Amino acid sequence: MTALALHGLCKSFEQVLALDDVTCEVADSEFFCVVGPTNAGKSTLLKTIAGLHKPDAGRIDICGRDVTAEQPKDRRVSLLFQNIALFPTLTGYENIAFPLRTAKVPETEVATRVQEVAALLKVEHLLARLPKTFSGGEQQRVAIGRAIVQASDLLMLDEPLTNLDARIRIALRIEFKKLQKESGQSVIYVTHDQVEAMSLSDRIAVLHQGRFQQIGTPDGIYHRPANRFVARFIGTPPMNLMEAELISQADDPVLVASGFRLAVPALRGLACYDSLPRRLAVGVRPEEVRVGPSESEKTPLAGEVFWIERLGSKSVLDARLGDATIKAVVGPDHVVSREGPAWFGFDPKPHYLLDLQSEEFFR
Amino acid sequence: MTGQGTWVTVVKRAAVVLSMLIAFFPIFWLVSTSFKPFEEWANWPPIWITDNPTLQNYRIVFFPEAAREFAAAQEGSLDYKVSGSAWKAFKDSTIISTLATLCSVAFGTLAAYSIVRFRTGGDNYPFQFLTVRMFPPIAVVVPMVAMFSILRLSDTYWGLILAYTAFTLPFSIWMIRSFIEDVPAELEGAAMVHGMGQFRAFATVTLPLIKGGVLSTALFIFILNWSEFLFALVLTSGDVVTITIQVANYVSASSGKLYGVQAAMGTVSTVPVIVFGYLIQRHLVRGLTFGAIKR
Amino acid sequence: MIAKLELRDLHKRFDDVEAVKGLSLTLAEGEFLSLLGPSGCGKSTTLAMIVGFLQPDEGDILIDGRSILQVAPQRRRIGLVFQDYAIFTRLSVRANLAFGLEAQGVARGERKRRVADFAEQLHLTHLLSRAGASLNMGEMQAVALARVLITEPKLLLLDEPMSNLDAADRADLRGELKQLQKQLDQTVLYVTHDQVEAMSMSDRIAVMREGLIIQVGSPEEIYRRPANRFVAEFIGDPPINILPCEVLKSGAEISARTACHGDLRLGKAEIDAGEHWLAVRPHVFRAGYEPGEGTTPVEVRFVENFGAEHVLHVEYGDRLVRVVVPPSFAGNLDTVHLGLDLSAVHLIDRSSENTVPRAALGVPA
Repeated sequence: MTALALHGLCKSFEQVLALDDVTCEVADSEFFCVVGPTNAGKSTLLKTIAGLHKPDAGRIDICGRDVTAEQPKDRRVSLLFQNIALFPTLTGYENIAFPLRTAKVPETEVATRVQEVAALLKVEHLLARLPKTFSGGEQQRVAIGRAIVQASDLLMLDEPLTNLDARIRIALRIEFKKLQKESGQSVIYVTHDQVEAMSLSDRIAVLHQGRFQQIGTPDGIYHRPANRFVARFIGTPPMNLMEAELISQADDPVLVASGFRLAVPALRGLACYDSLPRRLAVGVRPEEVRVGPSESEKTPLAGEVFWIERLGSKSVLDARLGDATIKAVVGPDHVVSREGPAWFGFDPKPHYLLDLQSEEFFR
Repeated sequence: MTGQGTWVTVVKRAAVVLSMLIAFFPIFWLVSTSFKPFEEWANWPPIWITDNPTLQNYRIVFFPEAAREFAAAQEGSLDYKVSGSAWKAFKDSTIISTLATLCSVAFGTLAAYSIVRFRTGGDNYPFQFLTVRMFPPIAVVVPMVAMFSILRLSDTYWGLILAYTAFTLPFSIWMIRSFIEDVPAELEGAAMVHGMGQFRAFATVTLPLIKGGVLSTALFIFILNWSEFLFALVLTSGDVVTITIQVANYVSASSGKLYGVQAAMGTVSTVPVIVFGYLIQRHLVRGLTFGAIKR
Repeated sequence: MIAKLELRDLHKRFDDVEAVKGLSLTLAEGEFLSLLGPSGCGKSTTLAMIVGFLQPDEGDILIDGRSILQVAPQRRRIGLVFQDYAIFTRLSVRANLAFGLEAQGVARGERKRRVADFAEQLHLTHLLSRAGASLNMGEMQAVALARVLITEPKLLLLDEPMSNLDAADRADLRGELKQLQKQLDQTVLYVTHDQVEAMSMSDRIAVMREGLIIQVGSPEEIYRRPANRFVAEFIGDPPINILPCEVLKSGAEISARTACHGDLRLGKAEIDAGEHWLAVRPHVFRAGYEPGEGTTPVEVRFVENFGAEHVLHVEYGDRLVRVVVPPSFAGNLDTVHLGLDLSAVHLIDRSSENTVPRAALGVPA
């Protein structure tokens, strides 16, 4: 059974189109991430599903039931807001107990449930205190407690880790994953950080300017991005995209740019090979770029490294290859360890050729 | 700190003292006059603080016999006929001001909520609402009198209450609106998602948070109502007497110019306002939302 | 050579909390130094003292060898960019850039020229006529940076300037900031809690905790030779694994035993036998399909798929441990065989929490 199904959801505010024909399904017990830059429409999407905004068009089904016309309180969803929204005049205990008390659950059961959740999130010491005395991380955990204390058909989390220190984020991230796997709760998790999305999700939906650009598994999105936006948004550092010309040399397809000239026989395997335009862009993931100190068979292309980011477990080389600027990821002890001339090599993949008109990858 | 800095400080402090003197002088004069005997009321040069303090004026305000005695004692100079005791004025003012304040704040809160959460009337609506209040009330006196007499509201409690509510509503809405805006919609959203209807969410979550703001608005409106004169004057003709009317009655052909009595009544009528302010003081607590909301 | 910035034994106390407890640091000209630490460690307080918003209770701050404690903030020639975009939203971008120059008394013609040149250097020319309020967050921070740099400050201070930006914008701005800094040879003190930012841009990193600097060094030094447990846990993504271990001595040589691995020969070290910690970076673990020398089978509980690498969370005794594997490593395995590269592990003394240097197999630590 699907936990959530959206059909053609549209929502505008004044003249701005926040959601543009949004359609997707979230399976039962799935961890579904919606990832995209700020103002892509992610918060609007969650609030519309929860019923706090009324869509201009489209349908929302939760567990097979059409809830498009229903009030928020009847939808059995849980929403954790981006700005946390703990009730400031209620203690930690009362905040977490809130959904249960509103549903008129008997007080003994409320107490048990709240204690369970508090133990899980390690916030027992906060139950008697007011939110204004909590630290950022503590507020977050109490808010999460309130969101999960009552079983719901769908748990929605709006950038829950964004306001936290980098270290706490990494620690809490895995807690989310654990929680979800153990409880089997269907989750929609919204974030602008693609690392979080890749780490946590069963499937990812990339949202940009109100439209879903692509929906798929982390592997699928990473290795077969649909368009330029997805290719550059997912993956750190982002995929290199270099403009090139496709020419035919003795029946072999060759990609030519100011920095390289590579024969790519595998290109003929593309279904649309015959209709490929002359100018297109070649995509290469930074970890697939080979770097060497001198010209060799594996690294035939001359370039210049102008910045090395030493990140401990790896180094990122920023380099110029002809007119293009590319990034390459190498190990921490790589032989090329200072700025200056270096040699590069890569193998263009057929499914990483980008149509410059439609900004989509050829299939 | 250089000498220059000290000079600036002296000037600043002097300016503050001067403005305080100007602001508090009328109150000082009022209280001082209320204790002056009859002869000193209109003295020139003015007597700042009397050497012969008396409670005569207060007695005239509160006790009809004292008023009659006084009137009799003034026989010969002017024919004083002091109107009845001021108790009715206190009673009428209290009833009217309190009820008018309650109505204004209640409707104002509901309207402000609608304007903030649902953007009723568009973005400029609150400002348009306020401009209605910008023309001088005296301009609508004549139509008001006509309307009230047609509606049989002249000289009734509810007539004046309605009029006061209508005229203070723009202020209510304007002030309470800003307090509601300070409370993020997500708080109500959280309550709604967890099972409350919209209105219940507002009442349970938002109202307690704006309590201080609503109370301070109420105080402001109360002061406006309590000290209102123009409409009290034209919309009543004796059945309803507010404090402001009563004070005016002490300067008339029949009463003469009873400055001292006016001062006494004025002094006494500040007491309820001060008490009200003191009572709600502990509710004016800011920063309640600190720590529960991330911006 | 005189240091560009020197902090000498700074102390600052708020009521009964000591925010900064005797902090000393030097910055060379043209150096990019990051002050890295968790929220509340005193880094922003230190910055406030350098700028002049706060006066230290004790200690001195020197720029180019001269104390600036008595100099008013606006005279210190220090540029400051902080988290909440310090651009004037009511002015155009051009006016924003010209602002500092105008304050310095630069003539109008010269101002115009410098603004145009600078905007070109930073690729901001297309934004010059836009209103400040109409920019997105990434653009605002770029303009904030430009507005400060155009006045050629002696020292540029940045206080978590990228915290409000999307992850994608952050990566872009990091590159731009670094290139700019190198071009202009600008001395920079960068305050952050994000170790990736610090590692990526800095010539040196000063790790701070509770008002004190714990370790100063190049990114590589801090990563490879963390001074103590705190630094080891703070630097590195994914974070380091801390494993309880038992250390056994035979003569000067020690060996360690953990929940899943026994007889780890660690060479010579000055440490007592007993319970201590072994810190192992996720890249230092080796995972394989088949058993091998020194490997133990462990169960995989979660897999994080980051595209370019995968992180396995495996059961190691009573805890979960992170192991990085290449994407070619087949997913959906329940059990892997785990070994470790002993030359790259760190031994941490349980009582002092300091890393203990070891001479292993004749190779110095």
